[in-house]
Amino acid sequence: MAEIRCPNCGKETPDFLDFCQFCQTPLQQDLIHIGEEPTKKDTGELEQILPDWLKEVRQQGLEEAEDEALRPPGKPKVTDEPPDLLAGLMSQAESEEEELPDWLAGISPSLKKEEPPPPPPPPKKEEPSSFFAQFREAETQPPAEETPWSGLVEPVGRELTDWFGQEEPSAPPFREETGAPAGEDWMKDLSAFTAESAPAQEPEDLSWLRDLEAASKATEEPAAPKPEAAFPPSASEEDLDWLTKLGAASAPAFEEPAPAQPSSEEDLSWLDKLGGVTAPEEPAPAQPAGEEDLSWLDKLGGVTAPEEPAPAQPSAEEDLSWLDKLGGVTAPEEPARAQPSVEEDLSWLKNLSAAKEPPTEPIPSQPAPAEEDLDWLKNLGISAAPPSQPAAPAFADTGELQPKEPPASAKPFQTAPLNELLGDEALRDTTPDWLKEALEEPSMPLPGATSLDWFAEQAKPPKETPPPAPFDQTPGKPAASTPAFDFSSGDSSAQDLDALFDVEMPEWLKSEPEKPETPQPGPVSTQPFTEEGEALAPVELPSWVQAMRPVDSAISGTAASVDMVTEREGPLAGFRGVIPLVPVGSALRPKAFSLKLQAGEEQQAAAALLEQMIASETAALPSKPAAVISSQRALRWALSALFLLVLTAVLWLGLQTMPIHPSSRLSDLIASLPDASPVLLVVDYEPAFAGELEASAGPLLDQLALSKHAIFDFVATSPNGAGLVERLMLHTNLSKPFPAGLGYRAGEQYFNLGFLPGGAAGAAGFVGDPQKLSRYAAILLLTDNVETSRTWIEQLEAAGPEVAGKPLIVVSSAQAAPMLQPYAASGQANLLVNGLYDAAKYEALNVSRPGLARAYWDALGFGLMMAVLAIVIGGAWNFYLRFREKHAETE
Amino acid sequence: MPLIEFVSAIVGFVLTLMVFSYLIGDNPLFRFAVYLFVGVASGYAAAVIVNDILLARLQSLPLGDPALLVIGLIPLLLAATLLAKLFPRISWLGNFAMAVLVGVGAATAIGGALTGTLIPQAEAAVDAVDPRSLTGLVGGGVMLLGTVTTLAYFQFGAKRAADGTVKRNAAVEALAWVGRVFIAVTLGVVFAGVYTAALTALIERLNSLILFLKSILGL
Repeated sequence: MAEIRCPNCGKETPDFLDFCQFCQTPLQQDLIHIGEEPTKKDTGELEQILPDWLKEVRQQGLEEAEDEALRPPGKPKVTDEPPDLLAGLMSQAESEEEELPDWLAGISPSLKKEEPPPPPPPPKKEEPSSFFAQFREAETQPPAEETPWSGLVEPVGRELTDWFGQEEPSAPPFREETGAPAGEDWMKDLSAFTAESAPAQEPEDLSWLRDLEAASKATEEPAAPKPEAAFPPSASEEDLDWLTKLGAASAPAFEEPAPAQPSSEEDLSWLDKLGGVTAPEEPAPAQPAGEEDLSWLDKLGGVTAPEEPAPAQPSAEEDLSWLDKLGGVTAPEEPARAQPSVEEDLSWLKNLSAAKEPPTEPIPSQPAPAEEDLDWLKNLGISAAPPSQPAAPAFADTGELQPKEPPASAKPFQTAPLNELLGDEALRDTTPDWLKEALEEPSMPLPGATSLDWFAEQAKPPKETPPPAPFDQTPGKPAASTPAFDFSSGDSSAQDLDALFDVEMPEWLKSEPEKPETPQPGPVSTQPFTEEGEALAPVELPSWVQAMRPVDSAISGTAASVDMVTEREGPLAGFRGVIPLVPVGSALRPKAFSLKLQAGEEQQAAAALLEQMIASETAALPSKPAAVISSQRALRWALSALFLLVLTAVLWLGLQTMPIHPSSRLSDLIASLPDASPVLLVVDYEPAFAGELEASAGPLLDQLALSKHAIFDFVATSPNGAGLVERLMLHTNLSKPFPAGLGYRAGEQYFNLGFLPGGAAGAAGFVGDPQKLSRYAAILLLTDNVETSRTWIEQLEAAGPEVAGKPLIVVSSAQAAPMLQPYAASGQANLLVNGLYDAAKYEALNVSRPGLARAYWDALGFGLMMAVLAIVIGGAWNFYLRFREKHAETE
Repeated sequence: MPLIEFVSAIVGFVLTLMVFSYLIGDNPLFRFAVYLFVGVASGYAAAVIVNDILLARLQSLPLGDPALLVIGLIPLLLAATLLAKLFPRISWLGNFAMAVLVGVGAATAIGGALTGTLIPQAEAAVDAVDPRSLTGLVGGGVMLLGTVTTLAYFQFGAKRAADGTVKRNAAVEALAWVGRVFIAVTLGVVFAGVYTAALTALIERLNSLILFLKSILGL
């Protein structure tokens, strides 16, 4: 392999590389400078090693050309062929996100070095572009002065070569009419975007261009005012700027009303944009028109080995015929073989603009799709066949152009056979650089690789986005703001101009100017490798591999989806990016703090324990089923039975075994009372204590009645007291007739005064009358209640000394006696009979009359002893239990 | 035995057994007996009040003497206003009568307590200490000690100690401890009196049952 020494770094670089693989310095011997004429090469012998996809493209193009030739004029073309995927690339109906893959761009690094043209503003739908305005103005002109473009708006079926051919008679030679500058400008631009030196072109290749230019010059006499703002100030290039904008889809050119430009220079300037080459601002050195005509074709073909001795090249038409299939392989074209003339050379242009869709369908205008369409073409052109390709028959002879099962576009880059051929030194020598590069390039994606997805999407038939009509179908109407050649549309001659304006601008094209980072397929810079850093170095990772990295697609996709959200509801439905995703004023909102309590494990454990405690408190404890016979109940029953049994036995038997110590103090007081004196008896006890008080007061009443014949006045402090009086008199045998009793009768010996209401006040009121109380010899208080007895004692004391001087005998129940003992001790009560105990002593003194106290005394004695024993035994048992518990605890 | 006494004895015997059934536990027999006693006692009390109080006072009104009649009607009018307490809207009518009752009762109780309890008991406590005799001295001393220590027990004044604890004075604390002994003895005596009274009531009931049975049996 031959190597070239880099003039910059001095390192050896393979000769097929355009740039130094180390320092990316352009290898000057391979570049074509501005003004230089590329060396014409005959690469027809290399057709045998062309890739299958290229052969298929060519074959398909040939077939379509034949079909087109056989089709009657005006008949719409109906094709049953599958949509050409390559043609879909031209339409670029997809969004801007589907850009040219890096791997493809990497094939021709020079494209990255292009200076992005000023982003064209989105063309207006309703408003015709300046380009079309030209045709409007031309409509008013005489037919004789019609521009050559009038020939373009021919019925369907007309080929590009036809209208080019029709222009030839009327158009003067290109060089003669327009002069060198006009033709040189766009040719220079075309030649500028190739990085290699253009080989010498044959003069006859430029004849058709000259004719075309001459025709346009002849028909456009009045020079239309040129929009200064839209095009760069170049005297010779201004006329052709509008054509330049065709390829570049420059928005300013469309917006500004431009009159008809009859100049042939302008007419031909659209050819500049064929390859996406728009460099109007760059001055192009004057070159011979004939030499420059083929230079742009060199760029398309990517001439990489211009200096090599070109083999026998049949003609320029043959060289360009293979390109027919690039743009519109499905368009019916005349067979390339049958056209040896200049028209045959331009057949590829016809196919480029041929659409896959039936020509009968009105093709709306597609504004400026050629920016991206031509990008790929440029890339392909650089790495594909040079213009000096062998003629079509050479391919046809090989038989490789026969379309195999998938469409030609399905496997466009099957370079594996070519790589195999590289082993042959003979073939390697004859292989052009552009083919070598394609063969050696490791970044070429394999068929079916994921990197070709974009390619498959590009190949979709452009139904949603109508293909642009490159030329106005209606005479007099200006062409739409579309590139001169619409590769996605079929026959442009059958297009309706109205449909051009009705076509909605594709989304990708609208947003195209908004993407500054996207390299615009504008004019090709004369120095394509201005940015060396972006050049694909052989040692670096292939760009298509880099493009397959998910991070890139994820980032771009996310950014697009986040920044531009399409509204689906409300009045803003359908708008994108109207409402910002970031809430307004979100920065002013206070920072949100989490309400979750930050608790540690220990705190959480404590909280859980607390919750458990609370839950246990609220939960109902299961109640213990009460035993039918418990120990306490049994004990109670046992004690009750014991007491009942003992007491019953004592009473039944009438035992009088308990000793009684009689007390004379009580009898002495009674003995001191006058005879037959009235005695006031206050009945202040309840029926429950009637038995006790009757037994306690019995001996006293018996003595009073028996020895003193006292008259009893009974007054009760309770309502039931009146009834208790009768019972008292009965049970003490006072009211019983004699001899069983003393024979006291009510109203004679005793008086039941009844209930004394008012409590203390009643007592005070009763004793307050000294006259009433003064007649009583003694006051006998029968009480079971400390309070009432104290009230009576107090009120008697408060009644005055006369009343207080009266003897007060208190017969109390045993439960109230301890509390009344102080009054007896203090002398306020003269005598206190404390229950059955004192009554028994009193009764003993009276020889046990009436005998109740004595009858109860033994039973009371036994009962007290049993109680004492029960208390002692119970205390001892409790003490034992405590001792046992403590002993158990100590152990 | 007369029939009325026999029936009364039988009723008394049955009701007594019903009350004793409470030793087994709360039972309907016990409740029936209790309700019966309460009802009979209330009815008897109401009858006594109406018959011995109201009717007796109305019958004793001095109709010929307007002045005494007015004075006699005043308690009747105040008693009628107490009936207004049954109706919330006119319950205020009984407020005056109620105020009279409470005021008179409080005044009577206070006057009687002061003149019948506090002063006489204080004098008696002083007189109980008789240094002239050993018994009087010991008895008086014990009574005085018991009185002082019991009062000291209900003295709750205290101060904060150096260690932060609140304690009563040591002397007061000692007296309170002695007073607690006297209180315990007093409560024991009261409990003994209650038990004695209850036991006496039981004995009386058992004796009545025995007498009834003996009367029935002719023993």
